Amino acid sequence: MTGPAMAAPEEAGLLAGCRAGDLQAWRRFFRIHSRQIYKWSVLLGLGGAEAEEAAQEVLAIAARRIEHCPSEQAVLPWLFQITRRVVANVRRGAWFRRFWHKGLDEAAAEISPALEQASTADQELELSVRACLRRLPQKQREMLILADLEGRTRDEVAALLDIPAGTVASRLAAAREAFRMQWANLDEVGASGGGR
Amino acid sequence: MRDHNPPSQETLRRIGSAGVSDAVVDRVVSGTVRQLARQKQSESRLVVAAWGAAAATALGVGFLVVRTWSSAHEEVGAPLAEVTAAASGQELAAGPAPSRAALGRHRVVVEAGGRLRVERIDSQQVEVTVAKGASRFAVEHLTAGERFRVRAGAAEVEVVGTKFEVALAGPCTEVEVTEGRVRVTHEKTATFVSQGERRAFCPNQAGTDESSDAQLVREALVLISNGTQLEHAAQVLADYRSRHPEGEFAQEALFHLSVIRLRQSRLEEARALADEFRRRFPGSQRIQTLRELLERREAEQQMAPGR
Repeated sequence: MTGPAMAAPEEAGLLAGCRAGDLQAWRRFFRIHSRQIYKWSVLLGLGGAEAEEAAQEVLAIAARRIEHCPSEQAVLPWLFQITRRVVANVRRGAWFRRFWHKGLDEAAAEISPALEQASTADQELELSVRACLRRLPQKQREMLILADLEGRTRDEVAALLDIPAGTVASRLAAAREAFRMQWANLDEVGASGGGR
Repeated sequence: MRDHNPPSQETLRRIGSAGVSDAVVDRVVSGTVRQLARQKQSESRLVVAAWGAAAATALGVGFLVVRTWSSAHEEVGAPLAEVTAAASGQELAAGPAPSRAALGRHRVVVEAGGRLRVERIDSQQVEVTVAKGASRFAVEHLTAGERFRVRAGAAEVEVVGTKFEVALAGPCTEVEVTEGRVRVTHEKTATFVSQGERRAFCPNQAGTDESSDAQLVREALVLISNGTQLEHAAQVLADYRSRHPEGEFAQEALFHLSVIRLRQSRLEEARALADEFRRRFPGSQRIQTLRELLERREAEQQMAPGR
């Protein structure tokens, strides 16, 4: 399986430019990575508007902490680690809001297509897939997104999640099984039901 | 109706590889830039709070600067009672010290060693000639029909309510505007000189033909590439443009003048020059370069503290 590249060719020298405070380099950096970060945020469980805010937050954190990014090849794993934390914070905040405002359940959260799908059928499929993913534990959700939805190789997934490559296969098998069960129960719990 | 079998890996891959619209990307990028600018602003506010004492010192220094500026300002704008009221045909000559005079409701300081001839002065018009040295003018707001003109060498400076200096420098006339804007007519070409600019107007004769001006442009480009004396380089380029609007280096001069103004963060002027460049040289690849530089400088200003 050939997954998406871990570092885009247009990124050559970009990290150095960003570290040097070159604003043009930063704008390019934002533009190159905003799509991927937004998509991760959506698949990790946020609505479109929340995902935009999360992507901004991730890029702003990246801009403040660029010195912590080890190398050009490591930009994507580094951004993924920031994204998963930011998304987890947003979802936690949403859970507390639901807790205080009991009338506001997950159904009130945005459930509309957030990606540019090719057809209406795919849009419906996107909603169902996202609903199932939301109900999975975070580790399984991340595994499915990177391996099955993005089609990344085992090594790439291991690098992005910062886990041994050997762990990927076992965790992926468990994630697929959990997803299958959620899919089967989707109509019963409703497409909007969600775990954290 | 939803298929109860879970989607295949191919289907999941198709769903996962869906695109993200350009509008979303634009919103995320601009939102991030704004967010960083806000953070920078709040950080700078904290710094200001922590360094309150330093700010007080700076205010003190600012007060001194204003006092210094005011005293310089008063030199030109002193009360009428302290100065001589000039009349038509009169020549104002300054000795070793500057000499002040009133030209109707306007003021002039003839610098040490300078000479100013008052050609005409009435309720509607003031016409003077800088015969020697330099003179500084403070012109009150002119109403419709009023004119204030200064001749110096081959140049004629017409005023629209401002403070400026006109000086003879060899065969050239130098005009420096400290407030407002003036229109300089030189060899039938009208040029505006704006606040903060100093421009030289030289006769187009042997020694100042296009080939020697072209040499000056080359020297200006060297100054730009060294990153030194940008203002001087800008003046050389501006002079070249006014003397040879269609000259061999017209495109070069206009482009580099735009770049200098960008580097000096004079964005309004840079934008106007870039617009002119786009109109005059629509096929040039440098249009894109100027556009990118402008965007970059605007982003820098947006992210700069205090905005």
